[in-house]
Amino acid sequence: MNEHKEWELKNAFPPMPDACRNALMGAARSVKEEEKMKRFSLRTALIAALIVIATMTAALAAGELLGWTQFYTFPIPKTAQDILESTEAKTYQAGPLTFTVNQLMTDGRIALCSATAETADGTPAIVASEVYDAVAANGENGRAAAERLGVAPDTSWIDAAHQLGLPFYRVDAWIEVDERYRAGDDMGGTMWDDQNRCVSYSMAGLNENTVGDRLPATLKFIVTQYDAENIEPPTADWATETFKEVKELNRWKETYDITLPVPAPLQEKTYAPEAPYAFSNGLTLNAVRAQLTVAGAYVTGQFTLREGADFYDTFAGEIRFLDEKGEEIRWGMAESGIIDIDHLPQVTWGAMLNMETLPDTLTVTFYGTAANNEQASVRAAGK
Amino acid sequence: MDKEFYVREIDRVSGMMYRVAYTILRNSDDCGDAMQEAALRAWEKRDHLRDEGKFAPWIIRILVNECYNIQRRRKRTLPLEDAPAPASPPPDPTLAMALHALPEKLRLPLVMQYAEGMDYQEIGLALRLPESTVRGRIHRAKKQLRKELEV
Repeated sequence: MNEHKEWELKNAFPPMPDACRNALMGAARSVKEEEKMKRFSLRTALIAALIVIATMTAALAAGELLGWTQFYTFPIPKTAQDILESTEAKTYQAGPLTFTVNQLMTDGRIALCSATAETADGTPAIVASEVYDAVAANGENGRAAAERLGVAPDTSWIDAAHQLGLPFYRVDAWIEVDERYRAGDDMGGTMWDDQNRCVSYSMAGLNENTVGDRLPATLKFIVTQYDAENIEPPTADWATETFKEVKELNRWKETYDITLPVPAPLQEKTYAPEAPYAFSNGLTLNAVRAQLTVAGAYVTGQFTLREGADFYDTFAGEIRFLDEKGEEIRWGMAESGIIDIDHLPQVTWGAMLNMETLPDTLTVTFYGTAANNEQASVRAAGK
Repeated sequence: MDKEFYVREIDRVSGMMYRVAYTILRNSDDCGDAMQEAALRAWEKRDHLRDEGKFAPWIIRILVNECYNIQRRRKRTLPLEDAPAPASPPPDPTLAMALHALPEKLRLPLVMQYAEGMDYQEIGLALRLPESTVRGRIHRAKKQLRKELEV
């Protein structure tokens, strides 16, 4: 694969001073075979969010636009599906490209947008979100795009445009909310549909405490045209050299203000174990809180970290929730979880789950930790 | 893992360790402390490394923890403009300025991928993040770095 790099990041660092190197190597050489482990705890905070570049599973009519409902490999809640599919598709111009925003929604915790880019006048062109990434970099969807284009999967997008003699446009298309509404990570992904149109997915993380019943947001589109005609041919040295020779020809930026209705949460429940449950990873479960929205349930466990426990040993795994049948509940559309250890020994650890109703009982477990296979059942208050 | 292997591997990844530490601490003195402490701690925890082929993400994970320890102990959350100037400037000061303007959680995976050539899985191991989170953060980091370099 071509290892084109947009930046040589090693050049952003000063050379390692001799003192650092000596300290490191001195420490490494000083170790003795019989030394034993010491343990200590470490405090940090992390909000983890993720987005999965899925392969398309839903069959689409030729030419139909891809949206979030095709993005997920699992059935999303009907309420979310209805909102996404009832989005009135709107087109936005940015330079020579048209962006069709066909699916847009928020549940008050996340905001989603999918936008398909194509040339406004139908002229053939290569439109991608990266210049130097391989066409197949996003997996199966990219490999299919490479096949449709007739280029090798490891061809970079700019090389593909060069080989095919087509203009090349790099696009950024995303939904942005004001800082006061924002929480967690904004995420994005790109796919290509059966006509090789570039579909940009973006998800903004929201602060549910500040979002009201209307969410002001901005759709942002940036189109950059590069000179795909005059690029240096690949050489064996490209694996180690920085590639900066592609010339930018034009750039267009457009922003459009929109407002999204925010559906109220559908249900909330607090769960408690019969007695606080002590997992052997050092976390004691005190309670579970769940809020159901149109997109799924945001479920958090409230824990206390045992004194002297190493939080990083617990963090090596992931929290999981099981339903009343003991089956794992899949993570939801946000594909994200939250860990708050700003208030140690109190730890809040949860995830967005793919649920349409909140059950009366839930089971908390961990995957990949000392507490593997340990399960704590909790029951909704009043049940 | 024997000592000879350990010293050889530490030597091999020393540059990577420095850049990762610098990404978090932005101070060469602190980097030296973090690297030294990480080297000692990693040896203590050597039994935890089951696959010696994963030495780099494993030691980087320990180093990152040490960097956060130092940051916390010294209560240093330095704004960029307060970071002490390095003894030797970086070869590309503009890129350095833009890179260090990114939030750390974006900067770190980007450095691991672009400067150190680690793949998503290795970065995930080092930062204890799912691969898909790493992918998302790198995506966002690239976008923000481009924006920084435009200014």
